[in-house]
Amino acid sequence: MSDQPAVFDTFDIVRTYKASPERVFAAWADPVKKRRWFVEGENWNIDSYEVDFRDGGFERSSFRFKDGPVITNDTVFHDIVPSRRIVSSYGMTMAGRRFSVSLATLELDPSGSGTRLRYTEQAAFFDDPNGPRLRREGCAELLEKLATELGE
Amino acid sequence: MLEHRAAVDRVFHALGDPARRAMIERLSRGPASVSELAEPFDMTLAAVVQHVKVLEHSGVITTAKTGRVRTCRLAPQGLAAAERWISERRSLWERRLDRLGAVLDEEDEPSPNEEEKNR
Amino acid sequence: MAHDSIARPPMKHETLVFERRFRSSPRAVFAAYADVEARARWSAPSDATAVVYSVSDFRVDGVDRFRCGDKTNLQFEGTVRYADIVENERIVYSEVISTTDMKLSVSLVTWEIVPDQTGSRLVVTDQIASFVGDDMIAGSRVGMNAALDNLVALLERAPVPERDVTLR
Repeated sequence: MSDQPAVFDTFDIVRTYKASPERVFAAWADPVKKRRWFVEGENWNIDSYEVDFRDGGFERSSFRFKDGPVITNDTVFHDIVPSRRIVSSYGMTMAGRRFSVSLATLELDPSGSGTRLRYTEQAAFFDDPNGPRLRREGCAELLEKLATELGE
Repeated sequence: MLEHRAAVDRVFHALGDPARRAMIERLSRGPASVSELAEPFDMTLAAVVQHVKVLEHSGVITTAKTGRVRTCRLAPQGLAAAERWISERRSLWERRLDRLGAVLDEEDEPSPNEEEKNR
Repeated sequence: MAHDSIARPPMKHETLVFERRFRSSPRAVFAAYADVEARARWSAPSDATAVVYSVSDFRVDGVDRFRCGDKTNLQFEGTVRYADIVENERIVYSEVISTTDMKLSVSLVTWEIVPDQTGSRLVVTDQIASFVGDDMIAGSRVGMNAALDNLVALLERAPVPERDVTLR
């Protein structure tokens, strides 16, 4: 039995880019381009990454931070409007356990010749039904490593 | 009455009341029953129970009932792990969107001896 | 294909939270969701409306498809994909609601069922993104409240199954 209720959080980030909405969209839609900025860096080992980028399509990846537990990301695309909008939901597992599911909204609007990008994530985070121990050992430890990595 | 707030708001709401902060401080010294938590306060038990519910709903404490006694304990792992995860999600995306900007800039500016970067 | 001429409103995001208490066990509440025939009955907000499933697959990564709306019209379509299911405890799914012309909203919905002294407590959290403004969000709130009221009424009427209230 879970010890705690699920935790819900929403955040949004706004950025402007000089590139046109078409080029920004391409960096999301083209898997070769997306990996260059989406994938976290040297210490992430990507075991698999497959994409079927269309309305109703999917993106699936499986990776490890150094020699850590296997993390998977399963994304479903709910709505795609070229150069304007991508709405998707994605679930993540670590060591086989589903620990979060999120709804992600990407909105691109022309801003002069550039782009105003807004990324909104509505996320649900789940406790480990086996108790806090596994969460400490798994998720929290990974997040510590991640925080160190990102702090560089 | 449940409030429609984001999780982080729930935690700040939980911590925003002096009585609740005092209860958290008491629990940091060890678990306590609801009536033990109520002792220092000049308020009805019902009011104390309300505060306990807010703290539980925010994930800051957990409670368990054995017989007629409800025991409260701090859930520091819960608070820390959820908080950490929440703030990490956001910073992760901030860095990704920074890198997106860098990748777009690279595409934008060919130099004489530029080679297509393939990772 | 420089700029589209259709003005696109910004998406609206909201988190809706609903709570209900039941005299029934968590197992009974979970079963009332898992049973698609029961679900079709209690999830219709009123007697003038209906929910009709064409596809039902209640398992992780399973997909449901349904139509809903006025009984004579069923003007809305829904697609549900299950992200997580923990028996008697938790159901998490994404739900896209559309008309034949356009998408109206996407939601991430989490059902959490916990035992309490009198039976169970249900919390449903709907993290909704609307393509068409605040009205869709208000409509979703009304619809979910009506459905959950129906669910309470259904379980109160039905014989209460063997109690499964485990004290932690």
